Amino acid sequence: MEMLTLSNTKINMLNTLAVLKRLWMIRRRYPASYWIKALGPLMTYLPFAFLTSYISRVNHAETSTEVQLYIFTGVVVFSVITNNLSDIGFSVLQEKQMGTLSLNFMVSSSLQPLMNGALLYSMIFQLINIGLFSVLGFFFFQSHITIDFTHLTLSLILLFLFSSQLSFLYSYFLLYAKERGTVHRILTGGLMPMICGMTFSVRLFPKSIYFISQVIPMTHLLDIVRYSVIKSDISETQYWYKIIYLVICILVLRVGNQKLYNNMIRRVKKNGDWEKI
Amino acid sequence: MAIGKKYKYYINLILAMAKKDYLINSKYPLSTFMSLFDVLISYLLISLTAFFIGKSFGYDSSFSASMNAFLLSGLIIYQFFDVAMNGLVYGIIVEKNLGTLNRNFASPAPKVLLLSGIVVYSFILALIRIAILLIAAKFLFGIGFFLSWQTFVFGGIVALCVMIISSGYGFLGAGITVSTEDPALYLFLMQRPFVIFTGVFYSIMVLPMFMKLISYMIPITYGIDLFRHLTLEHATFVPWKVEMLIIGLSVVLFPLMGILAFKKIEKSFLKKGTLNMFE
Repeated sequence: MEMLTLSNTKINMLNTLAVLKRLWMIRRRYPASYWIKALGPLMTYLPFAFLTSYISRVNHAETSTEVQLYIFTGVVVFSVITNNLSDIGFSVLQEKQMGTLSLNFMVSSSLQPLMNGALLYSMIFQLINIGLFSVLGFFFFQSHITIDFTHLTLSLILLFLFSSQLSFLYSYFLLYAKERGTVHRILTGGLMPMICGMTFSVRLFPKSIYFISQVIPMTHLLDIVRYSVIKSDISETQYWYKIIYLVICILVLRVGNQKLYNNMIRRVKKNGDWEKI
Repeated sequence: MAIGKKYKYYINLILAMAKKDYLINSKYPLSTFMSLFDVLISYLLISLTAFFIGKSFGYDSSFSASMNAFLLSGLIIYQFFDVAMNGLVYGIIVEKNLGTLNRNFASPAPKVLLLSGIVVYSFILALIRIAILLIAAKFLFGIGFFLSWQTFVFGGIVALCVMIISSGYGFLGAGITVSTEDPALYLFLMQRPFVIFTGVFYSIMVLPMFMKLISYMIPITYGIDLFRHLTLEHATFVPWKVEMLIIGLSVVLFPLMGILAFKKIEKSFLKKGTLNMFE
């Protein structure tokens, strides 16, 4: 009798695709939720764009396209990070709330397919949504943009790598913490954009806060993306230093996530229940 | 005597709903604590952005002080319409998630009061947020708001009017949220567009014409403008007496329309038996 055997890698891959399909089916039931996410970057950007127009009007000056572009790139970068965090974090939280987290774990003895499926889902939809938003924006601002494609590609790769590692860390936080989404909303909607300078230059900060902002990798992500598309206030050398710093941060996050995950598995084996993390 | 008892029952009902909200929120201390600083953080982000934009034109900090007061006024009034409009909808979403919506709607208590009870707790939180915002603005930027008791009283009355008008949208939103599967539908249609159209962070005069027309149709826009006129002596975009008239009429009409819309939706899902079917 011939036995059907599948390697672990193949099982994980199939489970990842199954999660992707399941997420798509869940989200398809909520079209407004999808659209609110798709139009999220535009909805975030518009108030700032009108604020720029208002301040120009009050001061009888011409609306500064450079400032609008500066804000626009910040909104794009933060939308990628925020969407990744919510897509992956809330997918895991949803499984916990539905009581199916243990089921996911049992199928492939790991939570990785669930995380990877959510990541894949997030990437596909961000490529469509934020990609479209960025292309439209860059078309609008085309006369003010000087794209360096090599730098931009490298910056985007780092952006996706960093945001995915951060999202894994965030999903572990959601599994541990008693949280209803408020912390997520405040961190990604206000605190982080403020400290990292989503819509302004962090050089405006007093020294102590400026130092904090420089420790946070997202500040440098914003800088390198801006450097790739607009005239930025950093030099080529600073750009590469920032790249090195970000690579280190991604590696630290990767190792940290692995340790946290192993720690969680140990806890689960002790408790015997994923839902009791 | 019987009427007195009835009102006492109504008040107890509202307080019971508010207490339930408090108990639910106390289970999530981190979320509750951080939500108190929500508006302050938004204010810092927006005022720093305004400062950055101003600096790009070469303006100094005195420019920033008047701009800060302008932003502060928008955020204060935003809290009032957020409480009534989004508070009602989020309250329904929480009830749905907890699975207690059916039970509440099956009780003989007036549904409008049940929903109003949901807002009471959010209203108290909003007042704390505004207090934190004003204290922080004073200490961080030296901006004093409500410089006289008149501005405090008249500004407060306008803010309360905005809250009552917003409750009309809130009741409508609650009806939509109860009867549809997608909790984000209402937020997609109203919450975020309202921030753009009502001019929380800027004057609606900078909007393109088609957006301006939409803004004129939302009474909250006039509320924000009148609030700024009373507290900061800003010029209004239509005569302030006309704005008062619009607000006065809306205070009566909008909650009524919202309640009627909610009752109609409620009737339809009770008839179909689809209440809370999409949990």
